[in-house]
Amino acid sequence: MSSRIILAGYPNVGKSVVFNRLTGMDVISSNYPGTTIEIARGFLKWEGERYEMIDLPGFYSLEPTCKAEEIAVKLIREGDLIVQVVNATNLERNLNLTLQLIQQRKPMLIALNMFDETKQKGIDIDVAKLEQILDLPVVPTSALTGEGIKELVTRMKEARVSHYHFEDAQRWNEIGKITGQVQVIHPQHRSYLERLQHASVRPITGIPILVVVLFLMFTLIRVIGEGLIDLLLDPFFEKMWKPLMTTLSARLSHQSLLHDLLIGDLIGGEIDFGQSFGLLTTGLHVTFGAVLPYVLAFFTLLSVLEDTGYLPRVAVMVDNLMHKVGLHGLSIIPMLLGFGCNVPGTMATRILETRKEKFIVATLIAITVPCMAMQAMLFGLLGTYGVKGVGIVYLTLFVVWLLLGMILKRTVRGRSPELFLEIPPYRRPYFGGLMKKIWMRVRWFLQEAVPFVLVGVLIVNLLYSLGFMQWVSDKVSPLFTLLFGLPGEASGALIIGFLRKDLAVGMLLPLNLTFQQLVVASVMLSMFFPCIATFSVLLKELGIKDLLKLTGIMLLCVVITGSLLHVILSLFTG
Amino acid sequence: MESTLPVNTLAEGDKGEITSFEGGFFFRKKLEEMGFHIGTTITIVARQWMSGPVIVRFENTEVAIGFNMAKRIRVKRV
Ligand SMILES: Nc1nc2c(ncn2[C@@H]2O[C@H](COP(=O)(O)OP(=O)(O)O)[C@@H](O)[C@H]2O)c(=O)[nH]1
Ligand SMILES: [Mg+2]
Repeated sequence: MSSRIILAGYPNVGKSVVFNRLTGMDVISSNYPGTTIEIARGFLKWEGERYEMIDLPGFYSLEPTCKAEEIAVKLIREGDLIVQVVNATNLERNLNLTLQLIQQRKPMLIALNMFDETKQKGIDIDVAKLEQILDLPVVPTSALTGEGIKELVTRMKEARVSHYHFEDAQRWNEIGKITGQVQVIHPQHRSYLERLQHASVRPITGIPILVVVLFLMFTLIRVIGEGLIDLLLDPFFEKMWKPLMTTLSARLSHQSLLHDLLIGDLIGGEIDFGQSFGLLTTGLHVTFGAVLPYVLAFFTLLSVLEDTGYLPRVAVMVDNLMHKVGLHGLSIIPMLLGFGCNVPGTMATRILETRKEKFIVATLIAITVPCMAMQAMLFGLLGTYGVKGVGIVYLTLFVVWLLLGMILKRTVRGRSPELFLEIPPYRRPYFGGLMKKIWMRVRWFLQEAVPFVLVGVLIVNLLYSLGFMQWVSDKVSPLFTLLFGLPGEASGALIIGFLRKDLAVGMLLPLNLTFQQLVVASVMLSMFFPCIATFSVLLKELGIKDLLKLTGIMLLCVVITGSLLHVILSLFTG
Repeated sequence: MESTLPVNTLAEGDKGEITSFEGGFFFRKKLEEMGFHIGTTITIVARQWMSGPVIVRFENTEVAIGFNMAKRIRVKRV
């Protein structure tokens, strides 16, 4: 047996579940050196030995056409043993990859996964015969329940270089011959799940289903987020943390620098988590007490949708809409992620093929997709006005999304490819994998948010005490009033929004803005510079030239939208 | 010779056997990687409104194909 084991296979065959089963929780997910494609590495311990195990990103071919495939191929060449995870309910198609892998002349074995599903689907596979023809060990597995995984490990030492010979030009014929010998399919009635699958991709039922799912998702995010805050976090911060901080505040002398930094200003003689702007007060509260609950709720629900297999269907249903902005349906996925946090949203643009698509999606996310932190603020600022306030903000952002997208479609050079996407059947998510995914995404948020919030609090304090905020606010005051109907001080929120959107609310609240001003300020804050973490990811993904272009577009959009909205709202409110 | 027609013109529930891919090397490759080849029998699962994607099934795989791509896959009815 060898030292480096590579898990290969088409997307959605259960590689990651097999990987999780084999490696337990001892997993490191890392970016492949020099690129930004994520691969998971873990260790398999067996009979006192440790083997390195690599879960490749799903790929379709060994003749690479994209970066992910290039890396997959390279890792396969460097590996010592290949485990191909095969979807047993899709033998013919999966064998296409098997034959390509055989040509790599590496010791190999096959995990015939999803074996549990073959029974329901009336598929009979003669495993012994398949083993004999392919000249490779073939182990039926059901990774979801763990069946067969143990046997897979024990049989790894039987892995060998197959002597199966075939003409490459005759591959499909060859595959047909194999499946003809080993597989019998008994026609089945359509199951209830298959009916649901069908209903969710037919427009007449699929569109209503999509609307209901998205509505439920965003309602649940609010309910779960608010529930966590009301039941858990508010009591904690108000009843436990505040008294602690008040004691600390009393211990420190009120005018001291340390007091300013840790506790911040006392508002009416008391600590106010929204406005005090100390590291231990506003700094901690914003991240953990106000935004984290929503982020957690969002990523939990999105990951469930993803792992059950609903997201590809969303991509199908929105394909027409996406064509209006020069994209196809799949680009809904980075955008949806962007609603949670723009950082993973921007990173997910990697699933798109062309530079044009990436640029359009990244630009639309940065300018028009408010992240959870921003949305939590929106509700904080405008929640008291009911759906009206928040509604105007979302509607405005959507209109900008559509118009800007239509312009970009016509002006950005490059190709807009067509949707071409496998639609996996609905499946029960693997709980362990789901938890891991949610945790990885929440960790993302924490890693990005915590340092920047804390640094942001420091910088706000610094800029105020140096008089910088006052200076900027005086300078821009005439412009802000003229164009947007906002006081100059609102510019401070925009500046701080660059560090963290969620800090800006504490800067708008004390200004006592009117409803109209709040709406304009919220829209501008959503569209103005994405936070610095997103900005750095944009730089990595797009390069400096495109980032500068994006910035120019963004500034233009903010000024135009802000002033138009000001005019329109003034007409209505008189 | 039997007459062939592009996939985008088929209705829901129709079946066809692929006779040709009308496109260059990369187009064919993309389709082959997903498992489509000359002779594959596909069933139309659903069609979106206007020029939306077509969802086809073969074996146990369902694939959504953009309208303009579906135009370039020809089949004969079975
Ligand atoms: N019924 C069944 N579902 C499985 C099995 N293995 C994985 N799945 C599900 O198949 C889906 C795709 O699995 P995943 O590991 O993400 O696929 P990957 O893209 O190859 O990494 C998930 O919803 C899994 O829960 C299995 O053996 N049986
Ligand atoms: Mg995976």
